[in-house]
Amino acid sequence: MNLKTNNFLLIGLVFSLFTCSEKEFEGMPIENLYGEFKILEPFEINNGNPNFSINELVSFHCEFSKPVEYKITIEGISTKATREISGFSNLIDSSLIEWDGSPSKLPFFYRRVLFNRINFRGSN
Amino acid sequence: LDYGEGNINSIYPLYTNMQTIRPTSIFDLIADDRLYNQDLSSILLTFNPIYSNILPFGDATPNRNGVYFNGKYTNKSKIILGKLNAGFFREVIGQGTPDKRRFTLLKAALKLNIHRFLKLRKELSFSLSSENEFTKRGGNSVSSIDLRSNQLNLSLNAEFAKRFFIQANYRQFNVKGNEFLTQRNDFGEITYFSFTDFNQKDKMLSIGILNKLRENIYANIQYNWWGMEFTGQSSPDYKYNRLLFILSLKL
Repeated sequence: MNLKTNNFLLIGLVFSLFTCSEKEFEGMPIENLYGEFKILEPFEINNGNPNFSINELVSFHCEFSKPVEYKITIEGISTKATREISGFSNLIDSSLIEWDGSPSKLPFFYRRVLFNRINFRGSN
Repeated sequence: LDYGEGNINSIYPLYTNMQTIRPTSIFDLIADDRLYNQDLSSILLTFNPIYSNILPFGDATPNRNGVYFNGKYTNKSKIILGKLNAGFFREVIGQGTPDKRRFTLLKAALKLNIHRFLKLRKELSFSLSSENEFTKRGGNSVSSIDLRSNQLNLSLNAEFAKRFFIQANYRQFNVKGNEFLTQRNDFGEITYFSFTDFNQKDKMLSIGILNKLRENIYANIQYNWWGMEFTGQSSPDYKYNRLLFILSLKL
């Protein structure tokens, strides 16, 4: 290759480096800070009557318009055992949360459980 | 200008019975040297978008891409002197959204040397300048931006006796719209966007007499009327009057 071709290749390489950007934007999404909170898909429990003795799991599904702090509270009807699952996301899914029947602290769950409530924080 | 936290006006820093911090006006920008940054910083300092949202760090402003035009006109007899500047910029990368801000800057200044036109021995001149900034960002209603600012400056300088001048100056600064103020950490990374609404009018009128005592020594006595009006904002309006005497020595 002659000198001119080399120069063109070098300029092309420099421009290609300048035009490539991994990030779409700087900082956190404004939509997450100031966007309206909406429940896009209602809270659903997959396998509401689980048998934990054969290692069945309970998963949840819910989708929001923006990431929020959520807390799912599960109560045992007979033993009053509780389990709290919390996180920060715009999606609650089996890929993120699965409950194997264990409590947050003693006592243990026994037979019947009540999927009590889901709370959100960080939205209006 | 340094708009960092804790940097407040040194003249009448608090106002109203609630002792609230008085917002900075164009009077403070002219009279208060403590508002100006005197140090070098390794990170981008906080800036107020109402005064300069397009090039807050001058030519070194990062994340800008665009063109700038600069034009000057002076006629042969130097009766009319004119300047025109225009800039059209856009962000290289969006902030908090993929949509990029678009900026338009229009500056115009005109000086009329009336004494040259009327062939007077004593100086008589009139100046007019206007500076307009427009910032826009499209996208959804949450992240969209529309900020407009306009600064108007009128001044008259008339020599009524040898080395004595009457000076009058009127400045008006209007801002309307919304913008997201950017907060950065010590590494220059954006940590938060504060949504801010602006709708304010800032006025200042000065009338005074200047005496050129020597070539580099000036004495100036002037009276200032200045204040701010806010619409739909928490800050109360204010008005101040002040008599000022300045003795200036150019070393």
